[in-house]
Amino acid sequence: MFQFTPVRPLGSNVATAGSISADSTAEVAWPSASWAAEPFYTFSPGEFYRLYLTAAFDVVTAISTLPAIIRVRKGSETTSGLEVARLHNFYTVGSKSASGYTPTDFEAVAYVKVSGGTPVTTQLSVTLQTVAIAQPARLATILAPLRLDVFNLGLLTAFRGMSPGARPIS
Amino acid sequence: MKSRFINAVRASPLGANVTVTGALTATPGGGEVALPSGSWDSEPLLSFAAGQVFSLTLTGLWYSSNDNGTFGAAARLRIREGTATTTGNVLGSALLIWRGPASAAEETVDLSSIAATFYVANFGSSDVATKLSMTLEVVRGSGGAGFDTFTVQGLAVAPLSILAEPAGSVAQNPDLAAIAAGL
Repeated sequence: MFQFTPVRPLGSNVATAGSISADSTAEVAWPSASWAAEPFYTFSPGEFYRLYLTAAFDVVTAISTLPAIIRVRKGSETTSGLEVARLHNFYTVGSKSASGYTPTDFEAVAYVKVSGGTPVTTQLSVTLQTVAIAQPARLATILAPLRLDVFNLGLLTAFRGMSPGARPIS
Repeated sequence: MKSRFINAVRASPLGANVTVTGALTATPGGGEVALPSGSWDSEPLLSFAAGQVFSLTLTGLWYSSNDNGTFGAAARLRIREGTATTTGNVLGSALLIWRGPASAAEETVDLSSIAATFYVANFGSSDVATKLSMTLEVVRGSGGAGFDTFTVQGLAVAPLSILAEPAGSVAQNPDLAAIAAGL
């Protein structure tokens, strides 16, 4: 008989205020103090997890297009922790408006797994960096909270073929 | 005591198409093209149980060669029932809309993440075993032939994937089933 095993929410990083700006020269992490919630997550061996990121994104100076990378890293407020997800957002307003800011919201999904045999307990960071163009971008809570949700999807072996689609968090 | 995850292993034999290196490019006027079966790192045969609803979550990266700077372009990304097919039953469809940069040098770095979830249901009385296809079709271009190609791709840090998960029964989720594509 078919049995439905529901997805289990593990927790969320949430920020309702704050912003970070970054250009292509350096990756910048969302400050720990700017999270309203920045829980520790425990990832178990053999299981896999969905990271669901939603945020608002815009540019700091007037520019028509700007590609950016939003990374999720292992650890708190870090630009050097293990990269567990890479999410791209290509900002475009279609014209070089002098008004500059035209925020867009976006959502992205990634998957992680524990590659070793020991549970991993860690906080998670969200970082920002632009690509190729030395123009700053901004992650902000303009339209909606910055939110990183973590869900336990169950045993990785229950989902055929999924293993290469999940990034190791250890 | 039997773990509920053991039950999940036995009862939820779903899975995912994944590639961390594969890419699929469509050109204006070139019609719909499917990611070849060999480009998937995994392309499992999935079993969709009778009377159940399932979610299909699509992830990956995409970009366009459009560098018009003024006029954009659009492509349709589809998930179809079957392997490497452009004619199988459509299970999900997403529109990728691109406003091109003014410089060709920016094209391949102007990546965007894809995040889309579709729902499908097996309204029949027998389980449906099938593989899944991903296809791409340019539906609006601005630069004519040779311009406005669209590419979806997977990287190790951002895999191209279609994850099929159980979402409950049709009977218990009639509203969800109402918006689901039939297998």
